[in-house]
Amino acid sequence: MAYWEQVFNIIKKDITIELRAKEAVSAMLVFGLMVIVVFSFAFNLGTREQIEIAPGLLWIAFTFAGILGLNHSFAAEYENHCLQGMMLAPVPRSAVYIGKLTGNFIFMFLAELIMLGFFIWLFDVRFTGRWHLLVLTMILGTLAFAIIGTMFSAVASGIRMREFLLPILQFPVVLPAIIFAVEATADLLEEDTLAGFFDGIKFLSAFNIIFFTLCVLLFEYILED
Amino acid sequence: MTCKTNSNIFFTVTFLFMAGALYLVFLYAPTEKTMGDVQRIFYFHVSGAWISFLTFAVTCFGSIGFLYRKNVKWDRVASSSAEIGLLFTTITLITGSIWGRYAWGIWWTWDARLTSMLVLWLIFLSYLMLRSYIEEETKRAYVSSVVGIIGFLDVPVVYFSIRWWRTQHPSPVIAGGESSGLEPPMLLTFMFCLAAFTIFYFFLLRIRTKLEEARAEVDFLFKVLEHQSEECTPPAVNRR
Repeated sequence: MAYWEQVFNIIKKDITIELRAKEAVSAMLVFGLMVIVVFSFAFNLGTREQIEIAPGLLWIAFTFAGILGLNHSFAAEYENHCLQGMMLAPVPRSAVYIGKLTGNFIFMFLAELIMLGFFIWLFDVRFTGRWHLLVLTMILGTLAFAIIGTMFSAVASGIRMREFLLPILQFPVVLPAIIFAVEATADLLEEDTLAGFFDGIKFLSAFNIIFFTLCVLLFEYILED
Repeated sequence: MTCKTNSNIFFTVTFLFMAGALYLVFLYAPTEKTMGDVQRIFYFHVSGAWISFLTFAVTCFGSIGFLYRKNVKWDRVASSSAEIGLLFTTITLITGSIWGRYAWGIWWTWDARLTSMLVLWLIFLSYLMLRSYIEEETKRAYVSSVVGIIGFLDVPVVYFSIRWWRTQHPSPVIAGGESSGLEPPMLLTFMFCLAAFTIFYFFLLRIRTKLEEARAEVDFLFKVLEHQSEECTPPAVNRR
């Protein structure tokens, strides 16, 4: 029980910081909107093509915005030696990982929800009656991104060039999850049957379970000094 | 037997095997019926691909070994293997691209095997980039071991994710089902080529690891000298 209390305290710390500074979510949100706007001009779309590329565009925005938030996640800990303090605290490393992961997930998901609102407004996308499934896809896709991202954010945090390093490390590894999130979202938009959609969901869940276990096991080695 | 003669024997064996592979591929193996001479690229392409996976399996294994034993020797093997792996992956991508241009009429397609090979290439490129940014050896070993393990385990996931999606690459010719199989001379050539590449890989891995050890040795001596010139007490550097 004490373990989850520690995890909860780390989450609470991150949320308190975010509530006071309001930096991560707003930066992610604004950047994500920029991506959506730039892409819609870059492709110069008609109404029909819009629907076809919508799932991809949505996930590109989520991905790029997410990278921004993750870069911030451990970099912020480095200022004023916060990370050192956290490492000195009698808390298992995996609790730090799960706490940071949850915080990152919450911030990303919040930013994504607002982005989604803008997206629907700008692109006139309709997920008639399938809202809960879209939210499920977003949760699983974002979780996959946060699982890998929190890990690599910690990897990159103490290293020069970390802003460049994080996306370079992250994108190839998280690629399968992005593929399936996009496919599942496309199925929600275009297909009548949901067989393909549930395949995507199953895969995303498997991806999350595998890499979550792996990251929890490996996290303690990253901050070894 | 000294280390030097060992190296020479290893070099000679590698050289003979590679020369033998060239002979078999270009002079011994029969020309394929539909694709003609371009099919000969197959021997290098598939061997290269197999060795790519082997090198990265060794990287993953070395990374686990390091985290388990905490001895940088493991990390040196892992990183050396990753460097060679990047070389073999590049060879596979280039030969595959040339072959694809001839056989399919395109340089590239986003098929499962092609894409997972490209992702493998990217992962280990980022692995080596990560290493180049960290100077301190122990920290570098810890961080890159973690990335090495995650990266290697990601490759099968990438493969299945894209295969579920779409695929154009021919199914495996060897042990790929009932209709698969090679003519005996072709199979012999392929097996020989694979053996030659494997030996070549271990030859390179040995040189590369030795180089890495020599570099660590020089670093160590350098630190010692630095301390002595400052006339301090014996250095507190940890020799491994």
